[in-house]
Amino acid sequence: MAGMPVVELVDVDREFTRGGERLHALARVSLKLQSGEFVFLTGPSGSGKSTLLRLVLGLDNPSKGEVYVLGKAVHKMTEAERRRLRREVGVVFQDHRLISSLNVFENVELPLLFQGLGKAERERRVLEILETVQMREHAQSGVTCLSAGEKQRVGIARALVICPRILVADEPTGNLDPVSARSLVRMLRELKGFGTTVFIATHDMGLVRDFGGRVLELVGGALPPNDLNMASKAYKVPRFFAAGQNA
Amino acid sequence: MILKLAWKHLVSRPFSSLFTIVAVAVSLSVLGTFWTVVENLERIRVTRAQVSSVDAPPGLTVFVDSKLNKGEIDALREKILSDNRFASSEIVAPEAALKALELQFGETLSKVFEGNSLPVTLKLQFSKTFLRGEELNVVLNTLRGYPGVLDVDAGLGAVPSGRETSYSRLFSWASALLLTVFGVVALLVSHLIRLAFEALRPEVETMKVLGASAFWILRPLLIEGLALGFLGALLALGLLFLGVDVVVPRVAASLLPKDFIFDSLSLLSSAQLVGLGVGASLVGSFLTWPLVSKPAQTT
Repeated sequence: MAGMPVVELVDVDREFTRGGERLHALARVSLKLQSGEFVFLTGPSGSGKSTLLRLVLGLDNPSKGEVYVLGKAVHKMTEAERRRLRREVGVVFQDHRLISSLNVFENVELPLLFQGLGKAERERRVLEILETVQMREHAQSGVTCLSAGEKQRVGIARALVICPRILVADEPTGNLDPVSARSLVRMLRELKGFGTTVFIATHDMGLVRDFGGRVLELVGGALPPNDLNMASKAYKVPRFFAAGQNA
Repeated sequence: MILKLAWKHLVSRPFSSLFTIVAVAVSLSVLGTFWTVVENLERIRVTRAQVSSVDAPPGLTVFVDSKLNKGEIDALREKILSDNRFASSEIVAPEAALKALELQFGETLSKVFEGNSLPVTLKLQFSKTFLRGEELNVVLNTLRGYPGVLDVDAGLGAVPSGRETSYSRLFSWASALLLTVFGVVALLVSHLIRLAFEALRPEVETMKVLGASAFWILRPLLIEGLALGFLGALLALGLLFLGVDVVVPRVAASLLPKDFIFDSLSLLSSAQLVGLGVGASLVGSFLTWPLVSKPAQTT
């Protein structure tokens, strides 16, 4: 089983019909993510990033092609099987999606309840992960009174508490200031060391440039055969501007 | 945590929750009222059947110890008639009793008693037409406690009356009403739970993404339904008991037979009413299964 990709998409198409018109959200997308990889998925709005993540999470079906996660054929799974699979995958949302009726501790505990873990083990893990994201003192606080950055840290704690082999994050820094955003991505990058595959969808190219790693760029629903070379994406000042400044 | 989520569901739409509880209570009250009336009519039927039976006249038979002399029997008679629940009494001599046995069961059977002396009996006539079961027991025990009384026969040989058929029909109507109320309660609860579900949809969808099973999501909804049904049933019982204690004596007393005491719903029927409310609510909660089992509608 060594070397088996944790995520694999084979010739995946996803079409939608809107107003009688067929739209290709994804066209013949193939990719492989290995264990412990830190991968950015970039592309402009509407390029198909969210659609691709939905397929990986088993929230959508491909129109054509195959999707494998942790060696399992997601495209053939029933809804109940997909939910069981998602208990092994950490998910971080842009808008954190915390349950407002539950406090910080209970929000982080939720995926462990779905996994059926015992109370003592749940408590140990939740407190430990809250310590890691520096939210332990807020364990009993309601989530509505937290700042955006704190909410995102709770969201990350909720994703990490299950020790996922894959962590999928859709625009996790979208609602954060630049300092918090970098601190968050730095933390996610450290997960590489634990063998967790981190798959982040973002359109923040500055962040991608700063943290490096593997970069996949979706263009019009398609993935170029080679990964993106960030050097080619460096913005340069136009020559006429530089000439004007020197004159 | 499940209880906390159920509570959140309930209070997320307080007016809808309250409306549902009241609506469930009203539906169950309609059924409960019907049951109460049927139960009381059934009691009238049984009493009337006893009264109209040829074999069991509206009264009691007291068997007196043969050792009592005439004076002592007269004293016993007077003592019994001092109770205003009895209008009259008649002494039946052993010979007359034997003759009555011959008439009723034929000579062969009556010969069995020939060697034995039959006791003197007193035929008592009630002063009122109807006696409740509990009241009748009190009377029987009082009489059995009098010195010289061997036993008392209540003569409960009820014969079917023409009314029985019509009451059976009433029971059929009650069954139809029961099914209707069950459906109404289930739909009401289901509707409210769907409303609560819609209000909390983003959170429920998030749970689906995190891997919550459909049954895990359903559990708070079941608890919510159970609470709604139980509270509605309790309110319905309160209304019914209040109705019997307050409304019946003021409004319907003149319509009831003389001396008839209108009873509240029996304990068994009350429990059945609560069970119906809770059961229908649980069924209503289960109607949300398609919502909780369908794939998450979010990333």
